[in-house]
Amino acid sequence: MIVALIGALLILATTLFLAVYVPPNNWDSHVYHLPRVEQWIQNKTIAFYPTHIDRQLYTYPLAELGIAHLRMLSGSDMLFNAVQWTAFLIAALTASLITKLFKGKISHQVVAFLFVLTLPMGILQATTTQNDFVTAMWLSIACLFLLVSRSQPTFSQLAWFSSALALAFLTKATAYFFALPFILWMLFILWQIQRPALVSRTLFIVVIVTALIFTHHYRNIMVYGSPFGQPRVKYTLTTLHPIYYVSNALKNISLHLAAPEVKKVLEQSLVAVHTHVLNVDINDKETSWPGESFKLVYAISEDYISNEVHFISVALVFSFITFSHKARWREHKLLVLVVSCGFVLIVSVLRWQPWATRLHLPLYVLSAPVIGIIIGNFSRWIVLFYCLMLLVTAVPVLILNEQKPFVGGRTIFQKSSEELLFQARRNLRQDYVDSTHFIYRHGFKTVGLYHETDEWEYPVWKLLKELTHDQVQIGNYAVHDQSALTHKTPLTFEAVICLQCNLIERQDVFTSFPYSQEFGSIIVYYQ
Amino acid sequence: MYYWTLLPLNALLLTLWFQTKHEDVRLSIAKAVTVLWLQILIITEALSFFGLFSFPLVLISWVMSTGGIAIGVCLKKKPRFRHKVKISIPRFPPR
Repeated sequence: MIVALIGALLILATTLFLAVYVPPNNWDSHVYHLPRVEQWIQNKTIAFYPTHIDRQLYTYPLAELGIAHLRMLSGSDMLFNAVQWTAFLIAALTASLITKLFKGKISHQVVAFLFVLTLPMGILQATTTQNDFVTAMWLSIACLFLLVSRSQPTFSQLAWFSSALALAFLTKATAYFFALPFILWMLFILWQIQRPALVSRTLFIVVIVTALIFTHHYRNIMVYGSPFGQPRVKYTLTTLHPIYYVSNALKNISLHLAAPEVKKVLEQSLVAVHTHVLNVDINDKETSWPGESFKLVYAISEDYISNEVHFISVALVFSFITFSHKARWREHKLLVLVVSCGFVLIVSVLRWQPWATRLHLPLYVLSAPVIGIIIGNFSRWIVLFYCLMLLVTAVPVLILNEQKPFVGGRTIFQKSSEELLFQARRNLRQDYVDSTHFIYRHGFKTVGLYHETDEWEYPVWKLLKELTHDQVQIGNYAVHDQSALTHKTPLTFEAVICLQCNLIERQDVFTSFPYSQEFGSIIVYYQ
Repeated sequence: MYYWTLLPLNALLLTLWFQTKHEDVRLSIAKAVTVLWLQILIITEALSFFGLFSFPLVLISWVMSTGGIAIGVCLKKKPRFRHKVKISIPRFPPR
């Protein structure tokens, strides 16, 4: 167990170092997680604002609120990644405590703890500003509060459970899929123990959850007319035909097994199943992200990494528990059932996308206690072997992270903070640096952003705010969707930074700006 | 600026607040994290409502909140001085 604990500490230390040392350089973070933080701080409110990227508005904001507080209190972006790292640690601790509640010994708890900390997608997420591990943490805490209150659910225990659920919803909408079976489990407990008070206690849960998530939904309704906004892309399947759900689930599950050695065979097998058994096109629009055709990608990146060892462990242990007849595993079976239902819901309803494995993180975090109990029951040497296997599979993920590599030609130690910021799109760095320096040299105080596809806004914010010491106001220029209504008077700008301007056809939007200067893919229009 | 340390300090104090002899420290941590994030949510929504979501007011909110919790923890954990009162039971001589 000492080996496992030392390994766990090393993983925590390494990921913490990466989280603090490397500036946020994740794609989604640059597009919407961080620009919304900067915009809130500039506007002094989290009210909606005109933007070309609707995800900055309608998506749930909790993780970014934490980042905004850290940004204001620290004055820099050094701790942005630490939010997910903290969630990584807390989720592992919670999983180990749930194992204890299942009457697990210390060795069982250590296995569960290590299982969470060695998750490839978990390790990579722990050093980013996305919100998938924060979601997993809230769901594991909700599960913990449910198990604590299972013998006698008092109002105070229900308040803890409801708060954790609401915070999960406020972090990411995918939490609904995993939370729904937990809510049903809680209702089942209430039905068994406190039948006369079932209605009042259920209402209590509903009131707390609604009170906490109401404001965000209210803002969505005011702008988009719907509590969940009006995403441009459909996230879920729209058909009711069961074959599509099966196809979608198979495609999603295959993402977790995309190891380089097997991905080609797996891809071919899936195509064969779709052609000969399901009679559905594997790239059917209904089960595919727009513009993406089915392929398995293996990359040590927070958007793509697969979790083979963990997925196979979960599959084997879940099967073993399901077919076991031991009465002492009744609660374990319930947890397995609840987690499986959540997983089946998410993989079948949320249409396939190449970056989906991170959305399934709660599966692993919530399964960890059961894994700990079952694996921990084996002999000492098998447990040691399993822990070592988990640790060994974690090593390449730790040191070869594409966005934050420790070794190799692109190592983080040979790059400046600015270079690391553009690690995923190195060709754009000079364009961003030159254009923001141009704005700074000309002394423009109000700068607009314009782009037609989801583009990296955060680097503009970071570079301009650092150059001008926060003496510049940034907004979005020529917004024509519903978010434009959030600002009654049109925003006026001295200059506009047009991102990926070479791809934009409508150059007539800049007629009020007589001058322009080109910086690679970026054009600055100014008066 | 090290004002960010207020957040972990707040969480630490909350953990102490929830910690009892019979409760696992990990449960106290889970409760502390929940309350910490509820504070983040409430402070943001409250300040945002008035258009005051800015550095000085966020700092003041965290100082007040952390200070309040610190006082609460001190009061809760303060050892109680109990005056030992000797009760002498009169012994009656056997008849």
